[in-house]
Amino acid sequence: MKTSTSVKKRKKGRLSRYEAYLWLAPCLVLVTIFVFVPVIETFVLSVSEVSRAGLVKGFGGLRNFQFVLGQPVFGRVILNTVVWTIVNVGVSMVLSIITALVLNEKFHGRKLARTVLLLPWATSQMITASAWKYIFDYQYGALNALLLKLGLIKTNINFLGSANSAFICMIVVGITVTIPFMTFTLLSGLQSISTDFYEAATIDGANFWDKLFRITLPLLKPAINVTIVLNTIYVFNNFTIVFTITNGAPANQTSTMMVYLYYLAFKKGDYGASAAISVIGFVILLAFALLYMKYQMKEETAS
Amino acid sequence: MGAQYSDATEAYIQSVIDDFEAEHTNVKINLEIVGWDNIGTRIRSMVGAKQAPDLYNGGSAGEFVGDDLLYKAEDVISPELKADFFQVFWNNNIDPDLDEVYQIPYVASVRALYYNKAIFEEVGIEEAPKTWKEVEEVSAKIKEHYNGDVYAWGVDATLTEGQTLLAYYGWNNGGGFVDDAGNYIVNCEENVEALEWIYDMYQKGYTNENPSIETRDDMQKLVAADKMAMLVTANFFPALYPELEVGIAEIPYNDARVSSSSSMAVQDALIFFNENAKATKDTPEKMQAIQDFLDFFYSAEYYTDFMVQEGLLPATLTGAERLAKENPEQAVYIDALEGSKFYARSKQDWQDCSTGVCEAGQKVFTGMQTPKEALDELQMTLEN
Repeated sequence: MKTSTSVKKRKKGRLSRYEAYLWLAPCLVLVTIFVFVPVIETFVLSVSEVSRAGLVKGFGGLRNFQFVLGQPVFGRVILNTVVWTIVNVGVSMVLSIITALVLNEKFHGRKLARTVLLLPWATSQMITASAWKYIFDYQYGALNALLLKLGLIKTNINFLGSANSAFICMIVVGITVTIPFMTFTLLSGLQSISTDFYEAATIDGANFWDKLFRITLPLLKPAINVTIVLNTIYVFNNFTIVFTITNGAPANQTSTMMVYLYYLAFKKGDYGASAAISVIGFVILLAFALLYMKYQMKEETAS
Repeated sequence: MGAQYSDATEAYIQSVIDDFEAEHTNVKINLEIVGWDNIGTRIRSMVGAKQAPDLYNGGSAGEFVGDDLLYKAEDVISPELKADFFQVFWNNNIDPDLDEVYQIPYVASVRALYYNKAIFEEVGIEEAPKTWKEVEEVSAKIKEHYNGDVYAWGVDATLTEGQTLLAYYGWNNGGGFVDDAGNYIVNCEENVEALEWIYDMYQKGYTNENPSIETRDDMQKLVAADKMAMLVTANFFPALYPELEVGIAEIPYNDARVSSSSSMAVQDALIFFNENAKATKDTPEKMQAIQDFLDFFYSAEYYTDFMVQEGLLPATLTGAERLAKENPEQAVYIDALEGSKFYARSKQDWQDCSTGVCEAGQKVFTGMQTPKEALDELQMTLEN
């Protein structure tokens, strides 16, 4: 009896191992078709000579990369992308932690506040960005009207008038779009921290700041790490905001890599160069994600 | 495969196809209509997969002719149809590098100066300005009357429409994109002067504040909201704002350089993919069927009704005749079409030129470069 059950068990175990692959198969097929194939195709395109009609005309070596790196505006585009990503994620992170802490407290209308916070995230970014473009408008924008009424300025400010000021404005828009999702990820992290810690700390006489820095933030760290990696990727790859507000103007001075690659493909008809930018972006993000995880995991095991 | 001009485009073309198929029972036509945003990507994936359509109107021949993917127009269409196109359109479609025609006009539109009648009345301006000098005078009056709260003139240097800078202002100062031989002349003296003039208008506060990011659509809204007095735009503009009292005039010109206004026509083209872009052979029967269908499609009745429905203009003589008879108010546009100039779209590197002019404009309006510096740089890029 005994042996037969153990054989049965083993059989069952082997079966379920195969079964696992069976269940995974559809997902793997989909991931291959929709993730790996396009990624590989982009890599191939980036080292190919591509005609205006989009036809691959043979191996082009690193010519597309040389071309892209040789563009005078490329440095500016990279700088824009880095500033865009770091400032966006950094500022959003600080603000999101504060918002998440507030929303984790019990107060009247908390449900409403949480819902309202989700709205900008649920709205199409195209619509959000168009609305902001009008808010920043020189002559008829709501922001100038508000500042004038409050007596903070005497004449209208041309927010979108220069590359630098327009870029700052777009980062502000980016932050408002990033905060909701960040806050909710962090909020779920906060909710998983047991209240026992706080009760014990209160008994020990800890004040608000002690609890924040010794309990909340350390225990929130896994959630923060996930949030940083995910949002860096989202923000880096964001296209809609810059495309809608300045479309890179003047002369790609406000372009991020995503907007620039669109410009190369659809305004210049240079698909090879566009693919090269795409690959460069992919490599940057991959390097960031690997380094960050390695560094963070090391730190976590060390502590 | 065709581009979507409005929600009614697909239904209309399908109805033409149905009528054609009823007469030619052995012919079956498959129609695909794609929005402008995606059509460029869609056609490239089809060409890459050797599944290109026989007829396509989402781009220009210059994009595909270099890869030997297209039939010459005369190998496809009937001599009667060729003779029916406006001569200016046919000539505009000659590829200057190959000296052949690979595309035929599909739809046309024409640009003109539109002005907000209420603003003109309020300020006391009786006539639309004809020359650059008059534009400046009128703009000064508008600026003074509204204390700068209403823009007198709209100028666009965005990536969507910025290339119009050398059309609206360059042509009307004797300049333009190419010379008669089809060589680029973007940094000619006339063009530099034209950009200097419009930049001067901007600096005097007569125009919108941020030409690099304010698109034609943005500015059409401003005209409709009584916030902008004058804007050069396309003939479908009035139909977008039926409530608006809008006046129409010729695009103003610099009478120190030229003696009359140059209007600008824009055409979308129809091209014909050859066997290099398809997996199947094109039999003589099939080519005959395509020719018959084009004759049918471009017949005055079907073609003109299609153009009227979309707010566009026909590019055929018979179509124009029918339009003038049935919609006399459109006749003014037909006249303008005949004397119009076109973008140098049949040049294979037209995209580089068009985008380059937009960027030159953006550099000028944000003070990064002078008109001369920006246009010299562009000329150099185009020549290399």
